[in-house]
Amino acid sequence: MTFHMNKAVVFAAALVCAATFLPTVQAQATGSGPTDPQIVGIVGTANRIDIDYGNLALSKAKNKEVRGFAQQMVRDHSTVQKSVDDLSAKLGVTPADSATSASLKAQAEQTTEKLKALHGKAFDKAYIDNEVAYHTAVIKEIRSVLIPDAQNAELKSALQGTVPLFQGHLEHAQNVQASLGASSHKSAY
Amino acid sequence: MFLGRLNLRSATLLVATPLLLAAFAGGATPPANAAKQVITQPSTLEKTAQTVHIVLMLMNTNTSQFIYKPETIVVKVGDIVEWKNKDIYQHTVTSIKGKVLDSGNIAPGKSWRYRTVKRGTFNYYCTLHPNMQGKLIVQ
Repeated sequence: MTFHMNKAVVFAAALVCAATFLPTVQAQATGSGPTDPQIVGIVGTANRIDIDYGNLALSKAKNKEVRGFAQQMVRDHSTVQKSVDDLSAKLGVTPADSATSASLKAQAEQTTEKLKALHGKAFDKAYIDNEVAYHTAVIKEIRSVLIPDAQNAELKSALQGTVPLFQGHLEHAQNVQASLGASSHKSAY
Repeated sequence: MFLGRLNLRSATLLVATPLLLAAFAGGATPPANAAKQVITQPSTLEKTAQTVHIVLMLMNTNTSQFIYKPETIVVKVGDIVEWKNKDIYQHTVTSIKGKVLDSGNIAPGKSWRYRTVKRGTFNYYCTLHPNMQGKLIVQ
């Protein structure tokens, strides 16, 4: 039991690191905030990462609630991405890389490797735990950095519009997380 | 589909329409009982039309929140409530407690109808975005 708890603590700590990674890197990378092209690039990267996580879950997860959540993530984030692409085209903004988007990708690669190594209920729980941490981090980034720093009013408004969506995803993930905890706590980790 | 689900009330509507047409088509002064029907039938039609209540599902851009609009709707037993998804994301209408309301996923541009069958207050939410909540009161 102690061993299991320790592993859980280590994994939770890794997720907390992931959750706090974005603002830290952002602060270190630039004295001023990201430009609008960089903001569009960050949102696009964040969307693609969650779509990839969702597709990975659909290829591995068996749990009905987890699969439903993963399908929603692929669907909703694809819709967000289309909105972002449409707005970028309208505004003539070309997405640009930044330290934040690079760190997002690097972190996602590590998380994906960890998830790929897991199976069954362990995967389900790790995927949902990561979704809770990831959405928490992304919402924090959007609210504290991207919205305040966006220069274009339409881009700022579009970013504000993503908050309730991602907040909804976070609460949905927390509900699934609670249901998994209630039914599979003995076998997780 | 709309009329089919209304059953008795749609039948009233169908009966009322020929009576109205007959009353006006004659041209001459209608008999007293026919005139009475002309006066009373519009109110029947009005009542029939009011039995479908619309609730929109969308994002409030001022508050940046998903909402059911109106958030609380009060209807009578037997009335139909239609939830219309005006958003670009899928939503659901699902009872928070019990299983009275269980729409499943409603795609953007689609609707889901429910005919109320018992009195009570039914709190519901979107399972996909649990921060989106509404209330149906059936009197």
